[in-house]
Amino acid sequence: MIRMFLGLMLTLLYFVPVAHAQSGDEMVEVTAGKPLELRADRAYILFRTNSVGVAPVFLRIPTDAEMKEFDAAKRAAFAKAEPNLVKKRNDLIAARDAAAKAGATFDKTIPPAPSVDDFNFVYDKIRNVQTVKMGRALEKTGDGRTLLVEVRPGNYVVYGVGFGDVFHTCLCLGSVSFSAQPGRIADLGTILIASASEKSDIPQLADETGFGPSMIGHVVTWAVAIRPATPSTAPPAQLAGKPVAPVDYRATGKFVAGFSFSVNRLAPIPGVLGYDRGKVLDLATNKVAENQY
Amino acid sequence: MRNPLVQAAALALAWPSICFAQNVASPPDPQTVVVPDLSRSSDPEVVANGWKYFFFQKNGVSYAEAYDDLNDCYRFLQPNSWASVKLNRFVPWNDKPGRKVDYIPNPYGLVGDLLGAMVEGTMARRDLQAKMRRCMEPRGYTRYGVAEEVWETVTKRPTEQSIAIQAKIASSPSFGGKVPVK
Repeated sequence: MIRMFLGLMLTLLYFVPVAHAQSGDEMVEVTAGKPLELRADRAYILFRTNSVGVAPVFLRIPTDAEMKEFDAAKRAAFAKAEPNLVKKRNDLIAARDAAAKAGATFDKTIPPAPSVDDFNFVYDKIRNVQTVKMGRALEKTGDGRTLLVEVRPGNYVVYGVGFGDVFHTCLCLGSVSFSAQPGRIADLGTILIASASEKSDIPQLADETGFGPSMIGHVVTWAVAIRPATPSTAPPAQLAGKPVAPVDYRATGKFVAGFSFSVNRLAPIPGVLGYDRGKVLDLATNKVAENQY
Repeated sequence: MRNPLVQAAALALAWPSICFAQNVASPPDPQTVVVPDLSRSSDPEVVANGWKYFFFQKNGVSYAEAYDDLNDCYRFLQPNSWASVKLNRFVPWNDKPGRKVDYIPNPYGLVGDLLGAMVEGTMARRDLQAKMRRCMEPRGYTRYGVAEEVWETVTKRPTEQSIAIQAKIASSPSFGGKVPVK
């Protein structure tokens, strides 16, 4: 109980700086009260959600040019770091060999030989993964929000759930992707979010929740479902006459993020996303979705 | 524990076996894998604490299949702290994102560090267990409680060894008591 109390205290302390959004965000929420002019060089994503706090995290799949830029930067950084990495590994191997000679135990893991592929490199010139600020909703009601977000055109993955700039839950075990076209509004439907610890009364989340307090670590593990939009889904009144269309979701295989507190999978979507044990199924093609590792 | 150096060191020490999971060519021969004594797993206290300390088991699963499942799930166990979960970054998508521990100034000084140190280990373990549950349970595995010291011993072994021991346990007959839904 004391640890839980301390944990809560720390959580509150750490939330203090979270409220300050960083500049240079790729995603900009469109708020109510201003006439909306769609930019031809931007796409727009529209979704409704039951959440009033935590928000979906979206990843824009990098372009080829961005990946070249990233690869070049990573190689340059690796070249600089390689001598030190090699020395550290050699020191560990020497310590292991010395322990073996002395008949002593050695329980450290020897890392693989340093390589560009395994090099830990964070590139911060581009921000293609971001959450949405729920306080800047197009519509607010007592039981949810409607968000319209201006984004760069491209292909997106529903990547997880976050709050501010903190990544809570990665949908690393299966999710969906969609396309956002320039000058158009992609309707994602309704994104439903609930704590995985308590049983949700949302039908799509019934099987993805109710796992008890062991779902709570630094933060709770979030369960997520999507109710896709259909051609008959009405857009908000402010978007009357605008080019709004439901997205075509595609199943996305597993991927490693490595910087979230928890991992989960998006709830199955009929005709789009399914699971067979640990495999992610693309129900549009009846094939196993490709993993990103 | 907000000092990033202390934090990074604590994380690395807490889960030394996790960092290099994933690309293991073939599982070790199960005949060479020694499973610790699980006889205390039927103790009511161990079962009650099973939501904190558990291993998985599945009737009918082979050692090789259990090893593959555990190895796959270990990909997702990267431990994190408040200093390493920042969004607004570049993710290459077809590559593993890098790991960055941001500096977060600690306005609470030594007291804040001590408070952080007290809870960080527990939070990291809970994160790990929650990840393992969401990855393994959809594959049909069930949790069984084990004594804390058994869990600590096994999970702190180098990755290949730890996974091999857990795979042998998972593919053996069920033991002790199922963890209550918690």
